[in-house]
Amino acid sequence: MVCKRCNNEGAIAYRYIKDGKEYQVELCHDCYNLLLGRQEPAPKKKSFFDINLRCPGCGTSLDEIRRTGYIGCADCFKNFKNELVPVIDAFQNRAISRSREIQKEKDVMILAGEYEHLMAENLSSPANCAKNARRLKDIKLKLLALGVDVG
Amino acid sequence: MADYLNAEQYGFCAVSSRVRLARNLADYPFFGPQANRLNGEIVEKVYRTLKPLDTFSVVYMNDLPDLQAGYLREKYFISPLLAENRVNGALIINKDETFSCMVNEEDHLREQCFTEGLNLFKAYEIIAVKDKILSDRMNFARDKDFGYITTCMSNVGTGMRASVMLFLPALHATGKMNEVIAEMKQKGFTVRGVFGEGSRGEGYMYQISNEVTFGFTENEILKTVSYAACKICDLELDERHKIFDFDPLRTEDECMRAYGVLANCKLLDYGEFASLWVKLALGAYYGFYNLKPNLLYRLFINMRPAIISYHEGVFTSRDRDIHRAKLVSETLRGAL
Ligand SMILES: [Zn+2]
Ligand SMILES: [Zn+2]
Repeated sequence: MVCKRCNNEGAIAYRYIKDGKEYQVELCHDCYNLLLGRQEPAPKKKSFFDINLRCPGCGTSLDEIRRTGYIGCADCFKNFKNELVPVIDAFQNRAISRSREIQKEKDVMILAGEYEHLMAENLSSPANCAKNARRLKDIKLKLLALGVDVG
Repeated sequence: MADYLNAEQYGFCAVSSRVRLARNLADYPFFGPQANRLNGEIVEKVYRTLKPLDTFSVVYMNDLPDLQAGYLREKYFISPLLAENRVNGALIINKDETFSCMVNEEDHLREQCFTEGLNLFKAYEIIAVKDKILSDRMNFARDKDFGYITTCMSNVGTGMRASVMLFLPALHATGKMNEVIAEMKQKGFTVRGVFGEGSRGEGYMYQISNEVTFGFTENEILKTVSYAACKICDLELDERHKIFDFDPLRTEDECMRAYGVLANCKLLDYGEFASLWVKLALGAYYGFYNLKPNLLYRLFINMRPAIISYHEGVFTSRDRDIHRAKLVSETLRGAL
């Protein structure tokens, strides 16, 4: 018999009385308990829903992965790739949702780092000044284009 | 790659560089009872692949003597997590200890390479050769959009952590470290004390590393971490000059005293050694005597208790103190 509520097999016909009239409804054990307001459904074979949210390779549930950030096998990644995007984003300091800003920050960091380094090199050995002049000018312009003025 | 990042002028601040790669095999479970049963095979596979390249040894965690465990931990070749995996955890390491690979730690493989000083590009060069060979022979889990698939989502992408160990006594002493840590965090780097909290005497060592592994190429990670490390070194050197200018004679007096004790002591416990070593290293930077950074850092690492026991075969703390005093004083006298 099929459950009227979740369409799973294994339903039983339950009878109940409401407003003095007798009714019958086909429900599985879980849905029956749920409707009665019991907290925990009795353990049973996995429902269709449940199987879908577990990795068939290793049995790790999507819930567990969301909670811990750990996957159980390479298949978890394949199966839950879309669902994992926000998890990865959270664990990677929003590297996905902020990818545009990060690209800019990264460019600035690398150019400014090189700039400072070449300036320090000039200070410690003035012989380098001529060699570095062109690259320094180049970096300055690139940084300006990114909205950073190193003066 | 650009030489300027292997900057020698930072020798007295930048102790060592490390590159770590996290890799997993697509056809083995990452953890759990299944992994316990199957993943012992991975140790064999990695060893067989690496063997033709160099002299490697395999150290199994299930029968690792405490002494050797202590040695490997103090050298950062094994993590507490790996040591705990008595089922199938193993370390594969080459003879000169430049390349090592933890197997069955959080990820199936954790390849590591250490170099002295600020030298991330060199470390990456060494590790990339081995990683290429491993990835040619083994089926590493990868995704076309996300890169390497790791056990924890915090390592997805390059699976790479690049870190530089920095010796920062002046920033620490002047109370500027918290500021530096906060600024670096904002820029996407993690800075933390290497020996955890309450490690005052332990040499003021900090480690800076990239916080995220996704959205950056390997080259970008190496560059940004190197520049950030340079930046911190610059700040540290500024503070060192301020300390010196405040009272040059006093500074020299303290460094020379530390030198005197270390060169002449007969019993030296690790705590006393670590606090005197800080002054010894500063004095070398100021030029009161001539000691090279690499010699100083090797001394620092090799005086740790488990490393002394391992090398010298001594096990009581008094015997260790005797050997430590002997090794330090001989090193200092030999260096002059
Ligand atoms: Zn139902
Ligand atoms: Zn799985």
